Amino acid sequence: MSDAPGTDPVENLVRRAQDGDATSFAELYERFHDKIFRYIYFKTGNPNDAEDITEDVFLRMLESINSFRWKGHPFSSWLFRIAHNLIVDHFRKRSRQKNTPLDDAGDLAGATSHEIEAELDVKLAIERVHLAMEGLTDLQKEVMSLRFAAGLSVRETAEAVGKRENAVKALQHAAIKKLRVLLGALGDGTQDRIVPNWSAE
Amino acid sequence: MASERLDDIVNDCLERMAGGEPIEACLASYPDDRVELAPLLEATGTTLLAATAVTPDPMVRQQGLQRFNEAVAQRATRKRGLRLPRFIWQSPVSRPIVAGALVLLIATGMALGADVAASSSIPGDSLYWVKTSKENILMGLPKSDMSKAKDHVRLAQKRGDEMDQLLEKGMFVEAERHYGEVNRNIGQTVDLVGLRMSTNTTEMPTRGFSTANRAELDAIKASLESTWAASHSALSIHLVTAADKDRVMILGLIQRNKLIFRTLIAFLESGESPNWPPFYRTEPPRRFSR
Repeated sequence: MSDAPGTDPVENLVRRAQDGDATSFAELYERFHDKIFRYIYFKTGNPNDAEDITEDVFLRMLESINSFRWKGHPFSSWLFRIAHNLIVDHFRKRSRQKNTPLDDAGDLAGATSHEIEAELDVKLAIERVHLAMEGLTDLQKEVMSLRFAAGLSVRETAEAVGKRENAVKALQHAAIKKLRVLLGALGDGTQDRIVPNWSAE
Repeated sequence: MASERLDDIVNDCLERMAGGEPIEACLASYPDDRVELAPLLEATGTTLLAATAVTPDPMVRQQGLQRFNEAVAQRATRKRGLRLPRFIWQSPVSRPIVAGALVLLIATGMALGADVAASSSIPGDSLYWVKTSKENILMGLPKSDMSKAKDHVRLAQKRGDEMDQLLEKGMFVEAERHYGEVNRNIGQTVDLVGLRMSTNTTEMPTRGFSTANRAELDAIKASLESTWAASHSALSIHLVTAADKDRVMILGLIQRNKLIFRTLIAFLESGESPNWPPFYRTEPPRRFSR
């Protein structure tokens, strides 16, 4: 890929940001914030840590955006690489807080019994998936986080983890297979209540 | 090959489910693989739910954006002062030149910074040696005796100011010791203008004083008078404000200061030997005697 300005909106935003355009920085924040947050949350399991690390990711991006070069690598891969490194730093500093506490009654105050049940289903799903993810390899976890939580494309994920696209698809398939077994092993009879969001028309 | 095909199918279904399609729609697209695919897609659905169910608190998100915008603004302010066009920095030819210029700029800046900091230092400060070294270098430059005499008067004034600051800080012992430097510089001035001073009554003046360089001598005298006035005034203030135990020392400094300055000023004024000690004899200034 040439180093000339392209038509990709992210590429244009990044180029303008590299020239110091404040609006472009804000647009990059808007575009990537939730993806970065979900990716970090999926890996840390703690919303507070995810908020803090997400903020650090953007500050780090600000510091080093001029070092990013368009040489065929998507900007998102570069940005998620920063997020990955900060998560590694985070885990080095403190032990992992695995899951969101389920006894947060304050969130459910004023909700109907049906809403409470749905909320608990989601929290249980998150809990079970986080536990099941522990059974995956680091690379599988990384691919699942980038594909499922961050919503990166196969190509972007491949660039971020330094693999070919076919390898990412294979890793993804293998991880889902393993998760299915692990989620089954963690099943407590509530599994049917979790799935309907996806199986119901 | 079959495995790769299933990799693609799972990937396709994942992307469709992430876009909001239900599992059934995806299974309907691959009826031959339904049995193998269904449990995988259920696991995929559960994982997608867990991965996307949590969203950042809008308030925290907004605050984060505000802090980010502030950081962007700070970065812009920092960069505005020192920004090289990208083509200059990226060029392999100009890069070493720019790097060398930057190093030189930084080194010069550090040297100037140290010089500025040292100019206000007093004895005991870490940068005082920078100040005195610079003076020594300047005094070593070739100049006429009269010019050097003027420089020594200026140095006597500087040492007097430093002594004043030491007294201000209550460092009386150091101040008294430092007065020796005032004395030394005035002694150098005396020597350079061709005067020999002595408190020994047997060393009487032997001859008169050349007034061939009257204008320069007058300039030195004027400089001595202003230096004397400033130092006398400062010492008098310290005498009033000092504790009783320090007053004797300050009074001694005032008397020594008066003796050395007034004697030299009186001589430069009249060109004759005074009738009170310290007596001095005169010699023609070295350079003028040729």
